[in-house]
Amino acid sequence: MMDDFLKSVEKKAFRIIQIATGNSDDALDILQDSMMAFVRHYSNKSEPELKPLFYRVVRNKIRDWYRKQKLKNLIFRYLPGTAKPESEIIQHPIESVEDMKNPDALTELKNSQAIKKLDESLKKLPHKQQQAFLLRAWEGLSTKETALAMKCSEGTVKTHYFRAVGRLKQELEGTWP
Amino acid sequence: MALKIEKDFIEEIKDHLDQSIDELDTKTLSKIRASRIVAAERGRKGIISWFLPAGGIAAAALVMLITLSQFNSTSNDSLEISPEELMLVEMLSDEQQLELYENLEFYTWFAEDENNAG
Repeated sequence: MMDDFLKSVEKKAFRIIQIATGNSDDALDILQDSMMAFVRHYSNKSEPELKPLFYRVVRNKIRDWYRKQKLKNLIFRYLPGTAKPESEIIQHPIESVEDMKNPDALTELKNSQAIKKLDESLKKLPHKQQQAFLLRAWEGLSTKETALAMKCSEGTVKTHYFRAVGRLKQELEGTWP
Repeated sequence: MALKIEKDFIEEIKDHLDQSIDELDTKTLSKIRASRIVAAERGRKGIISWFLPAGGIAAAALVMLITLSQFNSTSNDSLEISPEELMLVEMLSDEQQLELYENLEFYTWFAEDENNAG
């Protein structure tokens, strides 16, 4: 059962973490840590509880990652003559489109560019808005489940979600897809 | 009407996010799969985390060390800790940060190496 559940969430969870961290390798590490911790603590839970609890673990791991980055930057600042470590910029596979005369290739390029632009806009959102939007709109969690995953009230989820949609509209309207 | 437009807008975002999953490369997909298999397998075996208690003790010792050194370094009775130092103590007191602290030697070496290089 656990394997089936993890299989059902793994790809979306990876993308959600990747958008939050902006780093694919770190996203893979966080996903693995999340899965381990989730299995260790919640494997006896009933099926309806699994998804919100899994994303709660993911949220905690992302929070730990942010703290770690802060600490890393702090350490690098204290060490003389070192610059801050730069985060990896996620590259999308636009370069794989070679034949621009092929209509499929053009569509693929347009879609890749749209995904890139969307990723950039999602990354610009404050973290809680980003989480509320991705969990509600994409992962399909209810307001109540999202509140459980984000460890906040349902009202707060609604506010974050509403603001996220507004910001995304502002950011993407007229230029996207 | 506005609601429908918003719904369409969100649907379009969802479509693109779904598509971004289809575009994940095979290397990433195999790593995701491996993570899941390892996690599910460990869940079945019920592995006990041996190093958590040791991590807690080490974190407590570290916080005490930093606090004591702060006391010793002040010449008068007033204790002034900068917000950055406070943040450092707070973060180091978190068990999750231990791994990073353990790598401090590496960061120091890296910094020295960078300095020597140029």
